Amino acid sequence: MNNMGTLDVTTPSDREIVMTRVFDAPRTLVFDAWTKPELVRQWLTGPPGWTMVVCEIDLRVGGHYRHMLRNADGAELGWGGVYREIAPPERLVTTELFDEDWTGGETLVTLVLTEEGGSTTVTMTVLYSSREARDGAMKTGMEEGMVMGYDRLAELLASMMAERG
Amino acid sequence: MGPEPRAARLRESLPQGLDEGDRINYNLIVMKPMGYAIAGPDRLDATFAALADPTRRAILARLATGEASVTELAKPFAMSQPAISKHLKVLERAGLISRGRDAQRRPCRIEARPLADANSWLEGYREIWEGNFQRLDALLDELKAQE
Repeated sequence: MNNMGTLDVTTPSDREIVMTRVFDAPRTLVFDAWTKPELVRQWLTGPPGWTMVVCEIDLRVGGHYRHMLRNADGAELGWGGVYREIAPPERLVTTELFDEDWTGGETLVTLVLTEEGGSTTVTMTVLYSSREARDGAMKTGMEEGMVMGYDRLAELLASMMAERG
Repeated sequence: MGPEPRAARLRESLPQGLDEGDRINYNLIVMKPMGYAIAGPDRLDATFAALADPTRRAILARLATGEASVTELAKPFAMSQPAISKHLKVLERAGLISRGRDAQRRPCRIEARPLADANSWLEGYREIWEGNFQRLDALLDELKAQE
């Protein structure tokens, strides 16, 4: 596979973001790296200078996870959610909500791992909250004029794109 | 890395066939909150809120070709001058345009900086995930070696 290491980002529908990336490792290892706290905290650390200071994972359907990053200035960024589906080593579905809700409610994150010739393609789909929630937010956004939250704005633009087909 | 390769990389990362309006939408949709951690969120909020409106995007597109008065800007739109002025105020608050001091005409001109910030924010988003995944590459190499 030639696209090893290339991060591909697409928006297949008005509610989704899809990131695709190929890793040079079998999917059992990739799945572990995504679900074992001692491994997750080594890589899911975001911008340079940040470290993961909280990494709690209760890997059961209905179990919670909680992550928090911190930088040298003491700024913190936390998020968490619940495991909805766990099918090692091929599929993991979680809800995700940041402490400061930027995404207009929780998102549903689906991770699909496919293996071919020892390499693993990871497809991560982030599904934003319902169309109803979006439409409601959109209406509020209109009424409030220009004082719109980032999240609702994103929803609004997504719907504009969808309407344009 | 200079600004040119970054811009080229950004263009390459976009799905084919997107126009400028879609590109802005795309930027908004692909943003993941983690990116907020490294960019000033207030400023970006103002920028993107201002860009959310098609009339304001059209105004910016017009101003990209040179400065113009409110009267000149109102002409191509089926809108009253006060309505256009309202849009201009939003753009001005977001720092996307500035107004001249000439009391009569008060010409509007585009300010490139906030747009550049918004763009580099998106770059930041990509870089964060690329950084995450490069660390994951290294970790997977270690795990493979242990097996």
